[in-house]
Parts: sequence; C-alpha cells; structure tokens
Amino acid sequence: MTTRSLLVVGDPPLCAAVAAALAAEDVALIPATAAAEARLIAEIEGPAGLIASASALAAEPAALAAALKCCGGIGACLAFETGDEEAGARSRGSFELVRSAAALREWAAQLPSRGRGEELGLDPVAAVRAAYGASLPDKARSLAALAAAAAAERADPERIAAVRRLAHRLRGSAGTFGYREFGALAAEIDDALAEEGGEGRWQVIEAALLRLARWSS
Amino acid sequence: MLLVDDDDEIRTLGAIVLRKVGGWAVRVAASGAEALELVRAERPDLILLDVRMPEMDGPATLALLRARPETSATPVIFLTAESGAGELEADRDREVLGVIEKPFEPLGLAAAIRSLLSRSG
Repeated sequence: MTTRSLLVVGDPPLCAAVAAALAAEDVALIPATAAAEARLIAEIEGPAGLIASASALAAEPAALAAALKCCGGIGACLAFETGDEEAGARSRGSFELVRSAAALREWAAQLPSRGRGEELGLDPVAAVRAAYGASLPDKARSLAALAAAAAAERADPERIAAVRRLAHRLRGSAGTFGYREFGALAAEIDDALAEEGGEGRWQVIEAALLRLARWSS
Repeated sequence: MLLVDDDDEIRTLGAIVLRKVGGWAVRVAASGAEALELVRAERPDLILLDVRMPEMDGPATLALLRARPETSATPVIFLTAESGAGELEADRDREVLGVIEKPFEPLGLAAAIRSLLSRSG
C-alpha cells in the first residue's frame, strides 16, 4: 500500500487530534500552522488531501481554497475537538464537514492512493529551487537598493542593519538553493558592514553594487 | 523535529528534505517566540535552530528552552550562516549538539543531522 500524504492546517492541538484519529491509517501528515505556509506546501508537494480546522478556514478562506486546488480538491473541515461546528458549516466552502474522529477516518479511507504530487511526478526540491531562482533578480534589486541607501548615508546604523539583515539571509540561502556565487557576494556585503568603521568597507559595497547589477535582470 | 528559521525559503526547503529524505515529522517556526509557543503543545525530539534571527536570536531562544523542564534536555542543533571557528566553539559551549553551516547541501541535510546525533551517542 502507498502512504498518502495529508496536509493538516491548524494549531498544534488540532494536529495532534488528527494524528490520533488517523494513527492506524497509512497516511503521512504534513502539519502547517499558517494558511500561507499550507498553500506553499500544497503547491510544491501536491498532497493527497487537505484537512483544515474550521477556525483556519474562517480566517483564511482564499489561501486555503487555493491550497485545496493543489490537493485535487479533496479537503475536510474539522469541526470536532475545536467545538466550532457552526463556524465550520459557514466557512467550509468546498471542504467536507467532518464532525468526529470516526468520520475523519471514513473520509481518509476514500482518499486516492496517490496524491497529485505523485501523479504528476513533482520534485519538491526542484520546485523550491526553481521558485528561488525566479525570485533572484528581485532579491538582487532589494539588496542593491538597501546597500546604495546605506552607502549614501554612511553613518546611519539603521540603514546598515537593514542591509546586513538581508545580506545575511541571502548568504545563508543562496548557496543552499544552488546560487553560491550570489551567496558569496551577499557574504562580502554582510562581512564588510560587520566591521566597525573604516572607509574601506564602502569601497567593498560600491564594488559589490556593480556586481549585483548583473543579477538584477 | 522542530525547524526554527526566520527565512521562509529555508524553512520550506528544510521541512521538505527533512520529511522526504530524513523521514522525520517536521514542525516549523518562524521565530524564537513561535518556537517557544509551539513546544508548549508538542515535544519535538530534536530542534534545528537558526542562530541569527531578529528580536530573539538562536542563543536567546536556546536559553529559554533550557530553562523549561520539558525542553531542558532536548537536543538542539544550530543552523548558522556566520563564519569563524571561534563562534562555533562558543556554540558548543552553549550545550548544543552541533552546528550546521549555511549554505548547506539540501539533500545532505538529513545525513548531517544523523551524523551529529550518532556522534552524541
């Protein structure tokens, strides 16, 4: 039997209740706290189904409706444990209202044997890498804008801190996603601005700005 | 396992590879405060914790985790984009299981974690 993945959107107690209800089923649960996170996971992984709490559906109906599409339109709105059955009935949209652990097991038993991600042969890591690559010009422009502003106002610690926050984040992520040269450039900026004072660091920033331009288009 | 990182792209990629390659059940948190809230309801058997985060950084989060009985002994691995062996030595002194440097090879992350876990016995 193939293990099907199920995306679960809700707070930790709700995820624990789902895990307990489906403990004997051949499913792998992917917990998500926020609707935006759930949508991203659904797009990238294409799970076999989506379970959401009534309160999550009421708070973020559009994001969860989009996530549901990525799960083949198969979704359950949980109205047990949380006691918000009325809210669930109002906000469930295309989600099937599930009122008990037994009903959840029945719902899960009808899931397709393979999720959309498996059907399509999705490679989640490749998908995340591709999304990162597509956003690289925007990242380069943001970093260049912050670095240029800091270079213009050299004594402003807040501007320097803003550059370093973004540069540090990019030095960690760019290489991880396969863009090591860009990550090294971000590291140069981060390290240059970490040093106390010194006009030399602004030469490093100005040189980096020229190289960043290449990544901005 | 709980993955704590303020970078949403690292969180997403990390959670995917840890689930798919490592076989772990993964929860994610975007900040130290979110991690501390999450461990009230769940007991992760391992925490992967970014070092530099706004407001509450990794070491500050670790200190608060260690002060709680339920997470006082939970293994913690630091994730860091910082350079320099001195800092890594200091991290060891803070009783973490080890340090994984960013950038990391996504498909090798699970193996790096398992190596640190086996080294700790």
